[in-house]
Amino acid sequence: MKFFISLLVAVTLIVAGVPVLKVNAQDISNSPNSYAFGTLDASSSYPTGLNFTVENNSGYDVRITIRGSDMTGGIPWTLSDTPGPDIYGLKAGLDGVSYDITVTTTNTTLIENLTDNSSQQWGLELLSPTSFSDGVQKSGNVTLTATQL
Amino acid sequence: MKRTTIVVIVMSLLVAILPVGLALAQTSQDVTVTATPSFISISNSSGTWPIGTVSANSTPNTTTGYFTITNTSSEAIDISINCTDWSSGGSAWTYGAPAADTANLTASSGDSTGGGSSGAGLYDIDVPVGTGALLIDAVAVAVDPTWELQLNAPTSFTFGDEQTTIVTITATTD
Repeated sequence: MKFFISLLVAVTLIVAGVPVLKVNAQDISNSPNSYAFGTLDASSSYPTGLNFTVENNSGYDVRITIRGSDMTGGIPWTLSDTPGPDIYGLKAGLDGVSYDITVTTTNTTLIENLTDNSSQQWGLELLSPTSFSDGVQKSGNVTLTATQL
Repeated sequence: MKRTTIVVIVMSLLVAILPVGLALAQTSQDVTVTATPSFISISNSSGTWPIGTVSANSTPNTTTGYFTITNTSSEAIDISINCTDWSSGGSAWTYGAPAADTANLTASSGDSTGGGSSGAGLYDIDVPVGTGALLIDAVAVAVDPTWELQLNAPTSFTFGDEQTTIVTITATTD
């Protein structure tokens, strides 16, 4: 009898100590994974509308943060809060109208709580440099990161 | 001892069966964004055309394709041309259709795809003073067009001073 009690306690401890995990191949997904702004004039803004959808199937509620990068190709564009010569800006928004989240090279909260099994549309607005030093196409990354709440 | 061994084995099996993993298997996603600057930039070579001594009623010209425009624009462009009045260290010609002490320039290009010049060596575009005239229409990205000039010399001279004009080519969005 003692043996079975010991066995039960051991199993209980093991089950309690190891979290029940839901491991998906793609816990957090975003689509589409690219966007071409096309040919830009200087000192102009280019919104995408609600072009993107981020989806959470992680099994947890998560916070989604966003960050950008400098753009490369020819003379690079630096990401900054305020556009300047070869300096561009990025903003993000969740309603397709206002882009009130300034995207920098460090993570900024885009979605405070994206609950499990839910999705959220979002968009970007590119603020073009005040002047260009070349006509070479630029490319950069915007990264969304999920943090479990 | 046997019971302890069994408990350890059961624990080991359970640990092996239960998945051990991260809370979030995939925590970040990248979006690649691209943008092309609307950028117009040209350079021209050669920067001079030393005509030399000119006879009255003559039409000396550069060779066809004497000038090359290096086009580093990111979109299709138009090329217009204009020039300044004649200048001289002494007496200056009048800029205009050939007459006594009066001369002008004409230009052409074989790289125009719409308006502007009809072909290389035709010298069919009058180079104006002031507002430019369309010389080459719709130059595509990465295309470096060529062009040429012709002097339409005065019908007669009353002085022999060297004459100079500055020709300007300007690129605008097609």
